[in-house]
Amino acid sequence: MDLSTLDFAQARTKHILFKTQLRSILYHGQTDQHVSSHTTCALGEWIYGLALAAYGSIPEVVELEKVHRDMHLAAAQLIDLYQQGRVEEARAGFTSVEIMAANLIMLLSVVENTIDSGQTGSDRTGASERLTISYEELQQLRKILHDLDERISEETMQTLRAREKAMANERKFQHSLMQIQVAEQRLRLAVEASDMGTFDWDLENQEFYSSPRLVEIFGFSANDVVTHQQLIAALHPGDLPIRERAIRTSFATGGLSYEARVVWPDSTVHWVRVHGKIVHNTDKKPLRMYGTVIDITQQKTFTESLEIKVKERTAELEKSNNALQKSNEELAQFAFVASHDLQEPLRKIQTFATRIHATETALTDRGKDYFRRMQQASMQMQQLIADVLSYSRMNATEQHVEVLELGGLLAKVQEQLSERIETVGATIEADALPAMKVIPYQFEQLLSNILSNALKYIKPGVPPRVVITADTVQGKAIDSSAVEGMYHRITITDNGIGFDPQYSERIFQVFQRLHGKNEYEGTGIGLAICKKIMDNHHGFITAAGEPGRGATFTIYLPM
Amino acid sequence: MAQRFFLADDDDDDRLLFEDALRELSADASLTVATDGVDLMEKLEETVPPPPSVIFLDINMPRKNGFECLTEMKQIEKFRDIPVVIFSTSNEDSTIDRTYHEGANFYIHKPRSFEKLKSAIQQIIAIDWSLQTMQPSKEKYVLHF
Repeated sequence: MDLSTLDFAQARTKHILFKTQLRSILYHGQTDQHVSSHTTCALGEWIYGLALAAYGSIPEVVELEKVHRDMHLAAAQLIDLYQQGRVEEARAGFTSVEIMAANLIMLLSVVENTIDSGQTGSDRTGASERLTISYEELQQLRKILHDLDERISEETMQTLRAREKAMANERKFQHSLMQIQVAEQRLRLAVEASDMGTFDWDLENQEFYSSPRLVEIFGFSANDVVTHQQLIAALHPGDLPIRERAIRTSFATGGLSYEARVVWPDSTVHWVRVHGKIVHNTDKKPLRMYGTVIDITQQKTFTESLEIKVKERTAELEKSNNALQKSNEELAQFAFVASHDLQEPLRKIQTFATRIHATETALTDRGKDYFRRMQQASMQMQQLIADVLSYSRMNATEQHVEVLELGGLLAKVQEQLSERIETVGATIEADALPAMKVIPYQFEQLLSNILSNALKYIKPGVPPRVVITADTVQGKAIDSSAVEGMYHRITITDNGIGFDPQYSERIFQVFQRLHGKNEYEGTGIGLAICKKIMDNHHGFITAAGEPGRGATFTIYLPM
Repeated sequence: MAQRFFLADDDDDDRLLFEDALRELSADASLTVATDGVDLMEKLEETVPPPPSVIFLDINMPRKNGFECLTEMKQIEKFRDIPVVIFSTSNEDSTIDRTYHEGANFYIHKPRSFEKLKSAIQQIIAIDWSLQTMQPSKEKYVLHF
């Protein structure tokens, strides 16, 4: 380029190009674009190579140099910013470069006019006058431009700040969004894992959203579009009142909870559990209800099958109980019939034996001894049968209960045993005995058995003495199986041979004997009968004893 | 006048023992034996009057049992006043009570020895029925021997 002359039009074009280049860099990242420095560009070469020296007196030329330089520096800074990644800041600065560029174009026009009009000093005055006006205008224009510049830069700054703020907000928002997404994912995982269906019921607009899983739970296909009404219609008609009640309650409490049956299109019945929560607005007006639905059919059927099983087992147990009771009754019946019928042939054996014994005088002494032993054995058998019969009769379910003076009963038993009492020389001392609600013949037998024992197991050389006491005692003091409340307690103590305490339970079992048959006669049923009698009376009988120091039998009867 | 006795018992052994005992006690007493209730009622129908001194009546018999016989006799005028002694293997209260209420005069629980059997029959033979027209008290109804 010829430095002496500047094609102002070309300079303007180059500067428009400069702006374009800068924009390409800042907005399209075309960093390969070369932006020349203020000294190497065409205008720079002209300014520093010629204009400052030749037209340094023109103030606009000096101004031009400054604006041009500033503009290049600003552009370089923006490129720097951009390359550092501060893209927004760089782009924000582009406006100020544009303003400087506009300023520069205007200065160029002024300089062009000045040079054109004052090639020579003589020409300058007229032109100066013209120029002065335009200069003033120019100054005004520049002032406006300057203000504009300031406003723009101010606004730019504001925009920048606002943008920064917006960006910060955006970042915050993004972060929150991410958190929400994470939370939602977690929730969805949880919901899916628990196989829950979910719903969202807009109470104001009566819009109902149900998740695909919910729709499935109600027997539809996950992809079906199912309305709220369809879902309600799927509920078992019998359970609709349950839902209505639960919904009414939820408006009062804010929480929804109910279980109901759903009838699937294939007519199978499924159980669902529905939970919901109502969201209110600030005026406490219910807006929406969110909730979950879970299929609890398995749970329910499990519970139901469990209940059915329990019922079955109970029925079985009852049946076997009945069978047991029946077999017990049959056994008792059998024992009764058997022992009753056994008595007959035995009686005849005994009778014919006495007949032979009395009439057949030819018998040897040995033969007579054999007969005596035979008779003894048959008597033992007779007693055994009588006791078994008596024991079996204690099983009879229907019994006549009456309030009985125990003192009178004792007197009766003493009378029955009077022969034995006299034989052994026993004394019997008794407290005043209470009236008790008993089965008379059974209690008679009870007293008889216990007293007979006291009169049987006596200590040689010691006059037998039986002491009978009566008082009352708390049920729980007796046994864990005793009922609440008071019990009569009757103790019968003798001074006989006693027994080893380790047998205190065993002596109440059938056929349990503590002595050989040759020592003391007996069948081993007597105390078992006593135990049964006390069982029949919902009472207890216990035995305490020590060898050689007597025995005490205690009976407890609920009052 | 020799006493006339009736015995109704389906048990052959008991009839034998009874006859033996009675013969030992009274040589001139006569005994008519029936093997069950139907047999008894037929034989009574044939022979009464005159009425026998005493009827020994077993309870547990085939065809017609002792209870039925007792009830029937009390309904028929010519049998009503004949003394009846129950002669049974049972010593159950219910049986004793029922026969007492039906109007039997005494109750013998079949004993386990011949001597006792004789003793029981002896007590009955010894009764002067012209003086003993009333049923005894319940306590004396069952004979002890």
